[in-house]
Amino acid sequence: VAPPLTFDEWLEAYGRAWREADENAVAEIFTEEGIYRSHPFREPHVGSEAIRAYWRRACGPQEEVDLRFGRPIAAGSRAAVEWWANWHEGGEQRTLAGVLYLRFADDGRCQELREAWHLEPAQLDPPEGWGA
Amino acid sequence: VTADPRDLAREWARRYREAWLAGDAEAAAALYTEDCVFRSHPFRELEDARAYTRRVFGEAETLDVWFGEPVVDGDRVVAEYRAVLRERDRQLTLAGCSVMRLAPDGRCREARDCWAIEDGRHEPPPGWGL
Repeated sequence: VAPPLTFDEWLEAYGRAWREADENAVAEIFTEEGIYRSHPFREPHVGSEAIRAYWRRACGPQEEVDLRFGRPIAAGSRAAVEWWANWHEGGEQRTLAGVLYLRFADDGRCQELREAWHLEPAQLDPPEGWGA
Repeated sequence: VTADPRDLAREWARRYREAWLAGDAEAAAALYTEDCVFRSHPFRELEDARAYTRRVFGEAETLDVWFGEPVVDGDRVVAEYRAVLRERDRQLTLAGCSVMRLAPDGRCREARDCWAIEDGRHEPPPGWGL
């Protein structure tokens, strides 16, 4: 039995899965019944297969992903962290800035992710004090 | 005696919710310190939290408000929220979260928000806020 994932390891794996658009890597850090709510008003992606399909669709077109995380806020089985991503897509720049809200199982995999974010078709850097 | 940060965070959310439901902009504004470093959206400039609160409270009537159980790590707090608003005869739902830092007296001294807005009434999904 593998030791449980720590939150830092989870976040590193999530970041790598995003940068590399690796759908299998992202599915591995969610439970089999994991819930991925990628937007407050959209239907969730539930279970490994749905999360893989979402990842393929969302990350597939992204090129040169530059992803940063803020300083996480963690408490027991729950955590939240700000993120800031820049990439190119179809010849255009994108900036997506948001917050991940996470609940973990005992083995350190994520049971539920909820996020809120804002998208801008431009290359924007985080403002001073962001993520601190 | 130092207050438990989780109690401060819950109390902040409880009071904000009450003020929001009552449309009491002054009560909500008083939950921020005078020098709070406040950004209502990642791509906006810093603003005066109290002035912002007074302005947006005047723009819509509040029909329902939910706050999730905050995630608290020392003085740092993330609070999810959702509110059903009425702007003229149109209902809207606002859903997002505040990444905050609380002062020892429980007021917010730093906040960055992220949110989405959608036409109509959308209650939180099952399991939300836990």
